[in-house]
Amino acid sequence: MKLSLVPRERRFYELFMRQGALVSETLTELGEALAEGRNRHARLRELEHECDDVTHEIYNLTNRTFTTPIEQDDILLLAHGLDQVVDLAEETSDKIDLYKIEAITDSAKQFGKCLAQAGLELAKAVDKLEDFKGIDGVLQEIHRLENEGDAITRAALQRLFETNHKTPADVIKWKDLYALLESTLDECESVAEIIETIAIKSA
Amino acid sequence: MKLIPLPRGHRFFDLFRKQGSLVSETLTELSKSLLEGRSRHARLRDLEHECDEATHQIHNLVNSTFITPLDQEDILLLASSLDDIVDLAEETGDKIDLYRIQAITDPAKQMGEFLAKAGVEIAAALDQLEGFAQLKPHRLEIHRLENEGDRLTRTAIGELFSTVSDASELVKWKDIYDLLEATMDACEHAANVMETIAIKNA
Repeated sequence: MKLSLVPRERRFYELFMRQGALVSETLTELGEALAEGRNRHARLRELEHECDDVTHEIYNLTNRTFTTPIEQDDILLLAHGLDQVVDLAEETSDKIDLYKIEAITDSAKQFGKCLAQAGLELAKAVDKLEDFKGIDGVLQEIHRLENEGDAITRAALQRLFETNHKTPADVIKWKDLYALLESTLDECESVAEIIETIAIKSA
Repeated sequence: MKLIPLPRGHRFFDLFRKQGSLVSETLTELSKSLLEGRSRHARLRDLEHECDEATHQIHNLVNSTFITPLDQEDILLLASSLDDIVDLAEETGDKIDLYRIQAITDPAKQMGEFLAKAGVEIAAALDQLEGFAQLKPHRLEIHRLENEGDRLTRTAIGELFSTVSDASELVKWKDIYDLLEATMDACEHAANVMETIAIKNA
């Protein structure tokens, strides 16, 4: 019998790539839904379930594997972080439905673009887990997007409370939605930080 | 002199058991107060203090023990994640008082029951933490309760905005539903921490 140590290591990278692709697809869906003002919550829920499955697969594989290519703690942290991004994006989309939001604000549309871009960058970063080549630029771009997003939501919140013609319900709903959008992007940044730590440890 | 390395190790698991039963009692109290529409905040605050005490004891024990039965970081993480559950439940109970909520809604009562069940699962999981083998059914049940709870609170929040127009009612109930959901999320987080510990110690 041949010991198959390498294939199992490869399996971790494959699963992370799948998770990265799911994160990117989820954030693109959310970005498009916001841009079109037409919600795609059903699709986002499917993606969320798929991501849950992959996350669990990673957990189980960690459980069964003695020598993991990345430290066990970091594997679990990364899998959980990526899963959180998808969970938050799904929650945002769910709330848009539940709140019966009719018109998406320009700020939310703009924020959606940042999220979609951050998703692409995260997928790229996860693809580079094996050799970390060129990962710095990707991670920096995620930090930049997070700053851009912060500026968008800050301005949006200011506008929300400035204009008086909104009902209290609208103010509460939009305050919540902006907070969710911001948390989603913050989580992208946390994942970037986890990847950075992994890169530093393996340098 | 005989070396006795085990007792201190056991002491950790005893303290986690203590924390587990406090989590369960707290969530049961919260659920009862929601069902009866009568606040038991004084009792919840007592429980919160007791749990703080247990958390501190765990911290002190980690500091004074050279070889811990689990990674030090994991012990501290688990203790603080259990403490978070109790803190959030107490905050929920407090807010119900502060907001002078008169009638508890059905979704909040239902959520209380889910939380009480999750508390029982957490206590059971911690009871068997030492072997790590029996964790899975509890973890799965907590995930299930968290999923159902999510659906419940989200629907309730949606419903809230379709039926209530009074600004302060909206703000109060939105906050209470968010807190109930956060309490359940904290239960799931604690379950995840236990899972991570189990994986590392398998």
